[in-house]
Amino acid sequence: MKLISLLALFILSNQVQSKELSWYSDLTSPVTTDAKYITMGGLASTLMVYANKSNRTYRKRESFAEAQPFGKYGIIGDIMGRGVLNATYAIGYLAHGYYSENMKSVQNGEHMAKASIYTTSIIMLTKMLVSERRPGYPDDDSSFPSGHSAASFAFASVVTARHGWYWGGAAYSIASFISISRINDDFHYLHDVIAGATIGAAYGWGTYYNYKKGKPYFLNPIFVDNGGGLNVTWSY
Amino acid sequence: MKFIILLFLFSNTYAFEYLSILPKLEKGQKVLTFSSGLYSQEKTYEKDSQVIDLTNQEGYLQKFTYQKAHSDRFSYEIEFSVLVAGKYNETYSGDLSFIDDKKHSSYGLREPLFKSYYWLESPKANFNHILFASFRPKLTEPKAHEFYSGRNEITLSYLYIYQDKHFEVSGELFSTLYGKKEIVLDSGAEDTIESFTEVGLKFNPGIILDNFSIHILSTYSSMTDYNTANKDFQRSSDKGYAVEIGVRTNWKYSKNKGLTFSYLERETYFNSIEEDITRNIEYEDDSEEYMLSWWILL
Repeated sequence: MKLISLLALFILSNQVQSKELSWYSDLTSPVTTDAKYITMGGLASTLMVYANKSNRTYRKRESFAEAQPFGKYGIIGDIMGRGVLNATYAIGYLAHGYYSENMKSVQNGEHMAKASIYTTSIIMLTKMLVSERRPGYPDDDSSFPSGHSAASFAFASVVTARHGWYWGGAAYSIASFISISRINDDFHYLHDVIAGATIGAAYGWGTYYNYKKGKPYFLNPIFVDNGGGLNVTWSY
Repeated sequence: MKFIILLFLFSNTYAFEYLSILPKLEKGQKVLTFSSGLYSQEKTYEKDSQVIDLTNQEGYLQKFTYQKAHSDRFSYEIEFSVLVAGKYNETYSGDLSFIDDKKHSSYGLREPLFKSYYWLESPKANFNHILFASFRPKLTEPKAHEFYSGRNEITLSYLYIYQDKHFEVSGELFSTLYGKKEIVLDSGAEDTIESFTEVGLKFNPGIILDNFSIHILSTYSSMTDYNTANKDFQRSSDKGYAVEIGVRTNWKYSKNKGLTFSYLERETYFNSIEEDITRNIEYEDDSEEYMLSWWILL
């Protein structure tokens, strides 16, 4: 019962942190925070690309070797972009924060988890609604937008926001490699990758701006033998 | 080697800022740049290591640019390019050996390029970001050997620049939409290149000393469908990518004048969607440019 109460308090605390913040404000952060400029720019680029996209390019085969910038190494991007980086970061920081009682680590992990979950939700919904066929695998109709690009750019944006541009530059390089590898391996069109990257970056930064804007305090349960406690932290 | 050289003598303010790859002008400042150099472009289509068709254009390239800062945040620029004493060749073999090879002299003025820069509010020290837009209008349907672009080109970009005391990193996220191009062939028929879009990233690290700077230029971009057709053959490509690498050195020899040397090489690769996958297809468009520029800050 105590465990349930503490977990419920934990979940509730994240819903009622600041006068405006909630799951809804995070969900809409790509258009309600300064991340809207990323959203607008990315959408404009996606439209410019889609305007010149012919409708008939289902090949059901690979591209020629010369047209593949990464050759056979694109599979590395395929593996890395399946949320491995996001999950490793989120779980690692949450675990570190929990065991060492470091609230900053908890917030880092929480931020990555939120950005990744919101990104993935929007991506899955959009794939279902659009049902665009993949260029090299037209039997699969989940081409738009690219989930790998979205996840990797959400990862890179959170890393940059939390740790600065030195780490962020490396993270964005990895995200770019993952995104380009999707075109390299004929899983996605260019507009799929741009749209996915836009969604991931917008949630990575949008949720960060929400953290900066409010969340003056947060509550976290502390589990001890035969009981528990509550840690209240005020950010100022 | 032919050069067109013009010298203007003006006195004006300190121009250290202009060693940066993205110099920020103060309100009312103007920059004139005169450039001269070599330009070459080669398009090849190979099937199983045999060149099916090869198009080559090269010559002496002259450029003139004028940039003015309308305010501390907004500046505009206009660029003119002209090719002189150039050559244009078309060579066909293999499946297209029935087409006669062609040789022409190549020359002409390219359509003007209009650029605008809007400097956004800087979020932190040493960091600036800029919204950039450019437009090159289509003015005519050119002949194959002429230097006209022959298409509308629109670019929207986000530029960023980080400067430390002697180190600078700048880059650009760009989207360029290339309009449909129709080329008039010698026979009177038309060669059509459909519109396509290019999206890419530029990354230019550099070192800036008191009177000298050097930057490495690098670009990676991806392209949408690139389809060409004429009465003899057609090519369909559903994707492509390009890599650019180069270097730019800038020497400020007086308060408001300087010399810039730049070299830029670009290689573009296109896929082919109609060829048999068992063949080895190479569809490339490569270009190279050496430019020496004199700039004057007014």
